[in-house]
Amino acid sequence: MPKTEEEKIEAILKILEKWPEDCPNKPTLTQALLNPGTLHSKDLLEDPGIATLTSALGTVELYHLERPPEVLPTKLEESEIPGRHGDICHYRADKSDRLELRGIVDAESEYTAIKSTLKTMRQGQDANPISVTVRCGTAAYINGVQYWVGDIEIEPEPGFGIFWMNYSIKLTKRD
Amino acid sequence: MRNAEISLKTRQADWQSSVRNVPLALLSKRSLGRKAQSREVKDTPTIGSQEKSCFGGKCVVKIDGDTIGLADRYEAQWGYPVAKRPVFGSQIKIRGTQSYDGELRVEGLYSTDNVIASKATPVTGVLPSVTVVIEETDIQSPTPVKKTWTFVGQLPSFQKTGQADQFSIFRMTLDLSAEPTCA
Repeated sequence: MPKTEEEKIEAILKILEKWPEDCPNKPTLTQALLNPGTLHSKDLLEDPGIATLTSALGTVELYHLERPPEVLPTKLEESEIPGRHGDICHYRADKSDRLELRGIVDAESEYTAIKSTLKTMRQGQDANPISVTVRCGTAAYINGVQYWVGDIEIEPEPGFGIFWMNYSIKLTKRD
Repeated sequence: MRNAEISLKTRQADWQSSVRNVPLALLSKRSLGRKAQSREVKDTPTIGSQEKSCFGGKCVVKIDGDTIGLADRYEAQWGYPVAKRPVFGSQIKIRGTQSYDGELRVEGLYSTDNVIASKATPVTGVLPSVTVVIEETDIQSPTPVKKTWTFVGQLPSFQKTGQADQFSIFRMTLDLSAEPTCA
């Protein structure tokens, strides 16, 4: 953990180096020094993305994550009784938690990371589990949890002169 | 993106509102038949610069080559709206530069030989592309300098107003299809 000012600046520089060069929203050194929270990196030691997906086959950083909704489904069995209003439910157990990562990419390198790197990681996820970290600011509230990567959707948005695309990555927790 | 569009429309509405509020009496006091206007304005000193004088110049407005003899004022506005999208866990929004949008508004006295209204009529269902040239000439320099601004677009909005004992006035809005050029 960096302690002196020199060490902090050095750590910030290392994090900024990880940001893609073609990302127009890459923070400048001045912006990062004034507001280190934009780096989403606790103690300036973590990955720079708001969310990080990593396995032995690669790492994908999601820098512009907008919404990470979760669903906690159950195996709730419904029984219907003729002549009686309402249903009777039987709680069987929990199903695996669902997580969806929705956000924007604004650079070709970020698009390629999802389209190519993440797809490669998904193809090998049987033997190489994918760990997911999601940060709120700098606090990783989902920290290195293993998920199955499911369907990935990429939807380009018109009216921009750059790679401006919405993405959705559906994940199911590995239990 | 929606916010940016709304912001632009709000600015346009503000401008149209301010133009509507110009008393017609002001226009009636202006000399009829003049093409140009010149005036001298003393500028106040600013930080980092010496005191200087700004001079008005001649201004001619042409639409598809025809001079609008009684153009009274114009205002152009163009730019690229910025889409601001919030991201999770941060109070700093990311920004994306959006598509070009702009317009030129011209207002003046409407004379009997004016043909501007016809430019706002679709031809075989399509509004024609209209070129408006604004020539600004510096009349105070030893060697007068003329700058020619060229605006290209369509004319989706045309307005004509009149009042008893007052002049007939037109206002047109050119929706720009490209950035204006200055030569």
